[in-house]
Amino acid sequence: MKSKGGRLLIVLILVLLMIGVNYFFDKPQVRLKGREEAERFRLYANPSFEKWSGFEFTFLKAFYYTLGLRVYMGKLSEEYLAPPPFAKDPIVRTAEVVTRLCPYYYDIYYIANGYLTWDYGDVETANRLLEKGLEYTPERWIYYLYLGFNHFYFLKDYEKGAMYLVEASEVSGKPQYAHLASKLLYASGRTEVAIGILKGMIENTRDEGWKRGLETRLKALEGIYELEKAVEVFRERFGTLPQNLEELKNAGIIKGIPEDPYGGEFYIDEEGNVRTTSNLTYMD
Amino acid sequence: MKRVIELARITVKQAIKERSFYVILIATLLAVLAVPVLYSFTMFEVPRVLAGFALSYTNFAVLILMLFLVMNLSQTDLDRKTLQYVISLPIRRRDYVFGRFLGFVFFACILIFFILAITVPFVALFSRMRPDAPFYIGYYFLYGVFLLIEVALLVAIALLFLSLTSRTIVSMFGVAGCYIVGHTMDEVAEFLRTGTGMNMPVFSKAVIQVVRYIFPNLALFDVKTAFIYGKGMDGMSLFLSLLYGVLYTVIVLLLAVVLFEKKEVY
Amino acid sequence: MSAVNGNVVEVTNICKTFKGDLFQKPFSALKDISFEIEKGESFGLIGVNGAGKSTTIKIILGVIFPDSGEVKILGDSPGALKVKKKISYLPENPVFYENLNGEDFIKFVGRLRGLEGKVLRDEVERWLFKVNLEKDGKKPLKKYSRGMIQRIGLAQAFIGNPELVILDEPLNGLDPLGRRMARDLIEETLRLGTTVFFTSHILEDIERICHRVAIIHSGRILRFVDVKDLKEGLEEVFIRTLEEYEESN
Repeated sequence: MKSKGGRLLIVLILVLLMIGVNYFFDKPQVRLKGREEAERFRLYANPSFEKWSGFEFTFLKAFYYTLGLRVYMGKLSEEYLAPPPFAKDPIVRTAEVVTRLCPYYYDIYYIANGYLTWDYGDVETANRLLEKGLEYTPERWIYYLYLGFNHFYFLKDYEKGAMYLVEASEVSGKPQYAHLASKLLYASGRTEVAIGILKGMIENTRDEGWKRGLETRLKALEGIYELEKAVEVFRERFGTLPQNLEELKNAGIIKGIPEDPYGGEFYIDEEGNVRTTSNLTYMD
Repeated sequence: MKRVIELARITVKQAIKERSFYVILIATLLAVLAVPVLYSFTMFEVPRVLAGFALSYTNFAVLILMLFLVMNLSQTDLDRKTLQYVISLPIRRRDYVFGRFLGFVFFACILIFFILAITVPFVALFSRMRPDAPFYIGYYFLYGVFLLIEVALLVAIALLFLSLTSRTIVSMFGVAGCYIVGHTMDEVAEFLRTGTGMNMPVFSKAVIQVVRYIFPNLALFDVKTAFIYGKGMDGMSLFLSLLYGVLYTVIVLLLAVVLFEKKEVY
Repeated sequence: MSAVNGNVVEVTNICKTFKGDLFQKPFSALKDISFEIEKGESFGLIGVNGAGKSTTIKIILGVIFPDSGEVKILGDSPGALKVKKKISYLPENPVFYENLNGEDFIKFVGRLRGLEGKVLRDEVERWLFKVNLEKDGKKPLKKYSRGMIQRIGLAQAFIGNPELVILDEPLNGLDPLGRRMARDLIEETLRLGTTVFFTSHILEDIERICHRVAIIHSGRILRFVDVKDLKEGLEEVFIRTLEEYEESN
C-alpha cells in the first residue's frame, strides 16, 4: 500500500466513491419531504433586496434565476399538459426580480410574456413587463410586436394594437408590420395579422423549444384562417352563414376539417367566427 | 520614487511567486468550458450574455485573488514581524505604503487584462455563431479600467486598515464590510427617495446619509451591464466615475500614509 | 551632537509602556534607559527574555516610539530616511519575504542601500559567497533552513557598508561553523570602523566580540561592563548583578 500505484488506486477509489455518493443521494426522497412541486420553487425576497444583495453580480443572478424558472417550468411540463395555475406566481415574481436585477436581460421578458398571455390570460401584467423592458431598451422592436399582438389578439384593442405595430415597424425598419397594422383595423383581416406577427416572432426566436411552441400556435391560426376564408366563400355563394364546419365540407369548399394541434375542435359561433374549443392552449 | 518603485517591484515579484497566474489560468480555462453550456441556455442575445458572464467572472476572480493576495502578504508582514524589518530598511514609511499600493495595482492590472485577453476570443467566437446582438470589444476592455479602479480603491482601503490595526482578521472584515456597504448604499439611497423611504424615522435616515458619505460608492464602477448592453453611459459620467474613484483612492491612501507614519509596528 | 563627541547612538532616559490589548494590563517595558555607543564600538545588550532588549532595538530603529526620553542615531531621530540609509538590522528569528529567492532578496536590500549596476551585482555575489550561500542564491527563501536564513540575514545586514549594524541574536540557529563565520564577519566589519550593536543570550559570544556590555533587566540597565577590564567570566558578573537586583527589591 505504500507504493505509488497503491496510493493512486486509493485516490481513484475515493474519487469513485465521491461520485457514487452523489449519484446515490440524488433522489427525491433525500430532498425535503412533503413539499409539493409548486412549493419547491425558489423563494425570492423583494426585488430591491435581491438587487443589492447581488453586489456586482446582479447579471449572474438574473441569468441564474431565469434559468431556475425555465427548469421549473420544464419540470412542470412533464407532469402537466398546460402550465398549472400555481406556476403563475413564480413566473410573475421571477420576472419582477429579474427585471429589477438586470432590466436589460432579454430572455425573461420573452418567457414571462409567453406564459402570462397564452397560458394565464394575464395580459396586463405581461404588457406592464414589456413596457418596463422598453423603458430600458427602446430599440428592441420585438417588444412592440408583442405589445401589439397582446393588445389586438387578447385585449381586442385594435387601435392600440395597430399603434404598437406601427411603432415596431418604425423601430425595426420593417414595413410589413405597418402593413399589418393597417389591416388590423378591418375585422376580416385579423387572423392574417396574427399569423403575420407570429411569423415575425418565430423569425426572431432561436430557442428551439420556444420556436416549436410558436409554430404550433401558427399552425392552429393557419387552420382558423383557412376556415375563415372558407366561411367567407360560403357566405358569398349562399348568402347565409354556415351552421357548422360540416356544411363547408359538404359544399365542397374545403376538403377536410383541419386539426387543432392543441387537441380542441374548431367550430363556428353564431356570428360566423371560427373558434376552437381549446382556445389555443393544450387541453387536458 | 526609486524606493517606491523598488517596493512595488518586490510586491509584484511576491505576487507572481504566489503562483496566482497558474491558478487564474486554470480557473479561466475551466470557466471558458462553461461558454458552450451558457450558449445553449440562452434564448436571445448570446453575445451579451456571454460578455456578461466573462466580465462577471473577471470581476469575481480578480476580487477574490487580490483579496487573498493582499491579506496573505499583509498577514506575513504583520504576524511574522517582517514589517518591522522592512521599515527599518532605508525607506520612508510612506514609501512602503505607496510601494505596496503600486505593486498590487500593477499586478491587478496585469491580471485583469490577462483574463480579459484569454476570454475575449471565446466570447467573440461564440458571438459569431449567433450574432443577434453586437459585441462591443472596446467596452469589454474599458470595463477592465473600471475594475482596476475598484481594485485600487479596495487595496487602498486594505492598506488603511493595515495602518489602523495589527490584526489581519480585522482588516479582512473591514475590507469586506467596505465592499458590501460600498455596493449597497447606492441602492439604499435610491430607496430613501421612494415613498416608503421618505416615511422612515429621521434617525435611520440620518444614519444612512452619514454612512453613505463615508463609504465609497462602489456601485459607480459596476458598469458591466451598462457596457454589455451599450446603455446609459455617456462619456461624461464615465469620466466622472473614474475621477471619483481616483480621488477617493488617493484620499484613502494619504490617510493610510498619515496613520502609518505614526504606527507602532510590534 | 554626535558629530562632536563621536557617539553613534545616544539614548537618554527613555521609557516605554505597552498599553496592550483590550482587557490586558499595561506593561512597562522600559524604565528610564540611557546609554550611548561610540563610533567603531561593539556594544552588547544582555538580559533574560523579556528584559527589554528587543524593545530597545525597536525604538532605536524607529519602529516603535518611546513614551518619553530622547533617542539620537548618528545625530538624527530614529526612523529618518537619512539615518536608515546608514544603519542595518538583523531581526531575531527573521522572516524575510519568503517567496523571493536569496539573490533577489539581497539585491533588493542592496538597491535600497544605494548600490546599482555592476557594483550591486558584485556585492551581491560577494556577500552570498561570504555567507556560503553562493549555490543557494536561486532558491526561494522558504526552502532555506533556519541556519541559511540566519546567514542570508547576516549578508543583508552587511551589504552596502552601513555605519551602524544592529543585530538581534545574530548567532541564533547557526551551527558551530556558522557561528565562527558570523563572528569573523562581525570582527571584520569592526576593523572597517563600523559600529555594531547587538544582543545575545550566549554570553560566551558576547565576551568574544563586544567591547562594552550593558546588562538590562526588567526594563532597567543595571550595569555597564567593559569587557577588557573583566577579571571574571561575563556570566558570573551577569548572574551576580541580577541577584543583587532581586535582593534589593
